[in-house]
Amino acid sequence: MSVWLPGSRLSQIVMQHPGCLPVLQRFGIRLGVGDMTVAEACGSLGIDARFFLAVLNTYLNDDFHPSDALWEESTVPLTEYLEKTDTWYEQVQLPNIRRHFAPLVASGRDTGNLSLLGRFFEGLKSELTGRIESDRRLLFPALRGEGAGLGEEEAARLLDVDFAIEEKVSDLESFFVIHLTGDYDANLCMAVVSAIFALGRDLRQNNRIRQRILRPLTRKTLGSCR
Amino acid sequence: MQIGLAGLTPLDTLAFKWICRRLGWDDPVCLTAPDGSVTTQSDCDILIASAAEIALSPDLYMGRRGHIIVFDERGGREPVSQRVLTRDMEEDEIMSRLDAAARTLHGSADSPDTRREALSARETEVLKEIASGKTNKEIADSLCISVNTVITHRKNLTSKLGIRSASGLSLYALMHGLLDAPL
Repeated sequence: MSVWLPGSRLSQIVMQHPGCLPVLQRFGIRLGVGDMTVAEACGSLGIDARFFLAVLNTYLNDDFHPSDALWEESTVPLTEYLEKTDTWYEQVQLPNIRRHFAPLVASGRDTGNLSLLGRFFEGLKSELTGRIESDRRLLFPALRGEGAGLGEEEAARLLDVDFAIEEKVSDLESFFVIHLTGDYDANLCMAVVSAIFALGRDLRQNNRIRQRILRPLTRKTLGSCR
Repeated sequence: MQIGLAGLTPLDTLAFKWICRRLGWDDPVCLTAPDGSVTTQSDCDILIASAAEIALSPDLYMGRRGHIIVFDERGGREPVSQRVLTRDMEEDEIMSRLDAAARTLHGSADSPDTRREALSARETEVLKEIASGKTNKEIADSLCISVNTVITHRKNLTSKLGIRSASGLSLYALMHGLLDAPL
């Protein structure tokens, strides 16, 4: 497991893990990073480098577990980061899949297979959109002390939805890779599958942050409110 | 995967029941009647018959050669074929040979839909029940099996199909004509 440090060069991180680009974007770090280190980039943008590295390392490494103490001081930046993630799903990734899915379904000539997959995607989209709505309306305000009426157990139930969504994205990947039948436009299919895999990868990596960091923080914050 | 047992002692039957559970298969069906007679006319995928039983009535087993595994109850010697099990064999070795036999069986199936073909009759039943929206408890009650067995079948479905969610399994069932109504 490689752990990135304040002295690590951003260019090296991105070249080794291009999948981390959405994380950099959510922190407002733009490409053209030159020789900048993490500490220098964070310093110039007013970001806490320890917080940035904790998010980045959790996102990239399945074995990385950041210290709890850091998160207790970082409720606001954490919820802001996760809000940006939700916005990314809502405004970029889901519309991107949908944009290619409709013409793909129309291109299917001899099977109802694709239209059923299209409906499955719409169900997944509704579930993810519902979770985003719950984050915005209930969970994040409660964590920041702005909302009222959300208990620890209800918050835990909201976070359980992450698993169901992850399962469905994984199923959609399997349907395309293993079970797709019939005649379809290969280029459109590639576009849809690539977009689904990008969403699935980002969801799984972000769910680590939600389950390992947000969930304990929720338990501590909302549990102590009772 | 449904296993049938013929001519085995109650203790050996119990041992195979345990092994089938570890493999995530249905409990084996005992084809030996209390009076000692055996019926091979069943829908078992694989029939495990004792060497003594086969020697006694070889004609009964001739038509099912590819599906037969011989259980040599004497042990103490190296089995001559991968399709022979002995009583003194390690449990893992028995599991590995049964698994290989099951794979060979399915690999030889002449069907364009090898994925669905790979599901056992019981797994297909569980899949239909899941697709109809039942909980694990309701499925267990409906099929007269334990909740743990339902969970094992669900794990097998996920492993074979790459599909984990109930709605994904329902979609698979619909795509393969196992459901009448749309989702």
